[in-house]
Amino acid sequence: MRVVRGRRRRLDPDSIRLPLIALIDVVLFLLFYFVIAASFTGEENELATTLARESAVADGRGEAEPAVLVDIGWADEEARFSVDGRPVGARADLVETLRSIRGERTDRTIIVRADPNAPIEATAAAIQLAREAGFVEIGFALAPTSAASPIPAPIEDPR
Amino acid sequence: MRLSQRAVHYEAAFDLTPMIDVVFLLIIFFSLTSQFSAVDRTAVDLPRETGSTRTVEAPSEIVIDMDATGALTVDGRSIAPDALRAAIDRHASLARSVREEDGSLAMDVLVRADRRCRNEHLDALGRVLADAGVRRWKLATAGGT
Repeated sequence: MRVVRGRRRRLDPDSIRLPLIALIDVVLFLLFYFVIAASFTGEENELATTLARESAVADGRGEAEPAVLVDIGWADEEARFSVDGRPVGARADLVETLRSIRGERTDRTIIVRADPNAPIEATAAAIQLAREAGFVEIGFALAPTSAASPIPAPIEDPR
Repeated sequence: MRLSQRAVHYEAAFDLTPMIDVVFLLIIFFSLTSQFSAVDRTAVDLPRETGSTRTVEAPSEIVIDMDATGALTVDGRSIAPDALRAAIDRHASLARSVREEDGSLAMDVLVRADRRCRNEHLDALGRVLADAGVRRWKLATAGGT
């Protein structure tokens, strides 16, 4: 037995209409959403999860090995770095110096001592480079205003 | 006269457009409401260092904004350095942060300091935090240039 199905109605091409208003509605919603979402996605990271005051770092160590000291000087609107009293020139030199010191030591403690007038940007850079060099315990201290250690002069880049 | 008994068949159609409208409305609503904590933060020109990825904001976290002059803002409100200690204590009690026997406070502190701010202000803030028992804190960065 053959089942006869109802005749399929053929669609009239003129009756097929794209619902433009709904489409525009959805597109505008998408636009609105992404504009709002993008305005809030300013990337913000954090630095030095173990940042501590110098005294706290010293208390926690209990070892005879003195911590590495990174000094940040500030002169002529420019930050100048020195490691254990030795001036370091460029940013790349600082990280290399810290890496070599890190390789010689078992302790991963470092203290960043900043000039009171130096901007936090320089301190953040020193902490960042210390982290990149493998130091974990990072302390922050302020250099005495009397500047017991003179601000190191910048080193000319030999290249 | 006999009328046709043929049943009228309505085509069942599910209109997706209003549903999509509502879904996107909900997405926008939730994305806005979930960002209120970030909106509370002031615009600070953070140091442009890579840092590490921000961990999920813990309930015990307090965010301290410090502008280029060293002025402090907590939860969107300006706060005097003298009042910061009280604000930390209040936040610690609300978040039920545990104070250890040595006086240290188990609290996450994020300092959003302007990159041009002088270190003496950061040091002063560090002293207040140390007095309050917060020995470790984090500096926010802009995630590199």
